[in-house]
Amino acid sequence: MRAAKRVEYTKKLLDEIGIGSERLDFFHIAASEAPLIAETAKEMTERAKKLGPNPYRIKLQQESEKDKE
Amino acid sequence: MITADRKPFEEIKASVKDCKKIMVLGCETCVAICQAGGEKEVEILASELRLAFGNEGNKVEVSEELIIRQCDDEFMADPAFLEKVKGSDVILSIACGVGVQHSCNFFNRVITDKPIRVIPGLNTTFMGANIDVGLWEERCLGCGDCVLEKTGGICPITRCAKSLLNGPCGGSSNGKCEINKDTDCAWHLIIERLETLGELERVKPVEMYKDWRPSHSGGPRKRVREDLRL
Repeated sequence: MRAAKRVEYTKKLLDEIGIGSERLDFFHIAASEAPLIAETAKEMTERAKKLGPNPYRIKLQQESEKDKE
Repeated sequence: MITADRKPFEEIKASVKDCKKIMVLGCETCVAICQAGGEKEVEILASELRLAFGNEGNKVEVSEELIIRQCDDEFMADPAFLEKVKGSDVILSIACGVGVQHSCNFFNRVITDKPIRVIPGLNTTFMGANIDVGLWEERCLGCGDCVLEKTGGICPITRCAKSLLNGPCGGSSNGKCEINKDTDCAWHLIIERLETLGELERVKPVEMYKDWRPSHSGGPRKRVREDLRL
């Protein structure tokens, strides 16, 4: 499936730049599988919380705060 | 078209690591069509560099530029563009090897008060055709002495691993080449095509040798059209 291949490609880019490929994923779930959709969304939310914000964004925020001071 | 693949990101990053102002310069012709060095690829590479360096706390300015053809002076002569080139520490060209060399030569010819460093972001691969979505195959070596009229429009110089003029060789098996079972035997294709065309007699005479002088074997080539020169 083309979308899955594109996600794989983007995951590689995320690893290369140090953001981490685990922030992006692809799940194949049918529209009728509502519990699985909820479970997967929960899993991704937990993963995002664990990983924290994009490290680059944190650095940018810190820099802008420094500039304000 | 000329096809190319992007160099590994780590290699690109290492080559520009000492630079603070990087210009990613794409080319809108061949490498844009094979999705290696066009507008989208310029944006992706520039974003990757910003994020990767930013992540390491390394402040770099990455600009994005696109030229219709980096292998042609006339598309690079815009004074506003040349000012941007001058203001950059390095030009990361994602054109083919021709574009990288030509833009480097051009910038250093017209910008005289500062040397301009141009480095490649792609590995140029071959002259090929777009066979299917996302698939390109080599079709021409640019040998300078085309034989396609004798071989049903299939090039034995490029597509036969041995560049045989009289084939197939003993390594052809079930229409595939001995070097790789995924590679078609060019001579198998040629015989089939000529049979379909009713021109099989074209390959009956033994070709004695090929004149390789017009090829790269005679050194770098030059093409001059006196009627076009000013």
